[in-house]
Amino acid sequence: MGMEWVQQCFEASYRRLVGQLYAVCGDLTEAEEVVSEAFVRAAARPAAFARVDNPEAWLRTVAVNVARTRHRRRAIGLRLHVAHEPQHRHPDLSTERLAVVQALRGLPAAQREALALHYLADLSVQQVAETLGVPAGTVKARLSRGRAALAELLTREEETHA
Amino acid sequence: MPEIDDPAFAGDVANGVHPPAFAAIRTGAVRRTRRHRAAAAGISALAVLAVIGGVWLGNGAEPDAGAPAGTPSPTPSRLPTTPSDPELPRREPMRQEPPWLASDRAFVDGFAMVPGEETVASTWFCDRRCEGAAKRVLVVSASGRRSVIAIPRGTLTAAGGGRFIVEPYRPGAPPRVFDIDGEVAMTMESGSSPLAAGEVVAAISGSGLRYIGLFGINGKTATMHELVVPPEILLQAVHADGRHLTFEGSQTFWLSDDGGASGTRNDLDTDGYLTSLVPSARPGTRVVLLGGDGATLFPLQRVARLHADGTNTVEDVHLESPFVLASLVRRDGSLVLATVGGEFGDPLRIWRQRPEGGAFEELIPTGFEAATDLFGTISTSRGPIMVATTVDRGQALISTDGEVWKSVRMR
Repeated sequence: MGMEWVQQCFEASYRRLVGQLYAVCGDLTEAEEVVSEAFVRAAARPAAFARVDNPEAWLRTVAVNVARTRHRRRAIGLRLHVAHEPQHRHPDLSTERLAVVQALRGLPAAQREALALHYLADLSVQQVAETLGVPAGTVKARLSRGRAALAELLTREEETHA
Repeated sequence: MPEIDDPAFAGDVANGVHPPAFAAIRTGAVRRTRRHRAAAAGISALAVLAVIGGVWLGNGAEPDAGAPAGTPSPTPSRLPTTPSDPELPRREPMRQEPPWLASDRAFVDGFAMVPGEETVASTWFCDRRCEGAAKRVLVVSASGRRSVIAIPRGTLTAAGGGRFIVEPYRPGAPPRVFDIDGEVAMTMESGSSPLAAGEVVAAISGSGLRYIGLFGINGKTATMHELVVPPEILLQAVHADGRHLTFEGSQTFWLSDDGGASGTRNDLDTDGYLTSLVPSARPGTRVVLLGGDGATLFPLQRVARLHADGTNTVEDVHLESPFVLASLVRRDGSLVLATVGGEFGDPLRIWRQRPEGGAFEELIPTGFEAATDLFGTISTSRGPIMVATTVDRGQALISTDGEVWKSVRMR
């Protein structure tokens, strides 16, 4: 019964979660892998997962945490050996949307996660707060600072290529 | 200017996603459960690593500065073997190369060589869309021979003598050494000592702690030993240019020019930025790049030079294309950066800053025309090398100064 529930959630939520995590990670393969890992963790403990009130929120939180861990390891690898980053994979998006994804990469993780989950994944401030494990006020502050920083990055890119 | 408020974004992306078969999720869950059970069984290798970790966790041990550097114990012991992992095959060369290795689904994420040595190594991976169990391999090439070995995910370093180290990302997993004939059995020398000439640094990652073990590895003699480390800092990163070591803690660095036998502390206010230690061809010159957290890119904000007297010089940087892909310090002490802008299709650009700091001048590299991307910088026993990829997946370009590039085979 537990595994059937995991599979039902997988069929209902996988695509949506990948879309949301792509906004956070800026790489489609990364998004697929962290979302898959979240489902693997749910499937490893199906009885516990069955008791979760909001399965999709739980999976999204796990996926964001996995993405953070993987990013930290890559950053440390950069510091140790200046290792190469894998090539990024993107869905078929307009130039403007890709510019936003690129610019988000230039922001600190905290701001990037908040902006991506609220403005691109269409989560409420409260949902973003629950996903990130921070108070709603903190999310609002990150959104405010993040918008300003993102606008500056996008403006700078426009001026560079004008 | 593009609009950030785009509530349909994630949904539009989701519409194009093709989920994997749920059976893959179920299989992953089974493997995860097995790994956790194996870890909980208290396997001897982990117990040994816990002993090593004790040296790091402030048990009062001081660096053994009184002992002659590099003197091994008269009773060497064998390196503890890792517990058998049902996911990973034995570390012998594969009889048949995986089909994806020759396809455009193969991506390189590691390259190592020592200038003057013929043998090179590279690590390749295929994403989960590929068939077969081995989705990450080490390719070792020399004299027309080539071996392909399935390996865990980790970083790759040349150890010298045609041997290469893979440091797995998995917490607790020890470094593995390979040559063209497969995995090399290493001999672990007792006790800790400074890094000796010709040795390279390798680490065991922790969970919670960044490191639970640091070793000096001699590829030519197939021996390794624990390194002496500064006791005062919680280690976040280590960089070695020969025997010139830089240990990074939280807003502090410990600099040693004798393999860790002695050193000086250098405190640096990083102001919340991420740091990147720059590989250096000039003994004792240490540069730290400070930048924002750009997810997969590193936008440069500041350059700090750490001096042996404990002081440092910091200056803000404003480059037109600020995302650093590779960096090194030349023999003359000047800093070279390879950067890219934030847009797709932005060209790779090479910059140089004089040893005394100041403005960056753009360099016009030669032999760089075929470069498609900057792979990064690899540290070798003969100085750092910048590496660029080309359209030919088996071909790379390397440079020791960012200006003159030459072609090498990656596999």
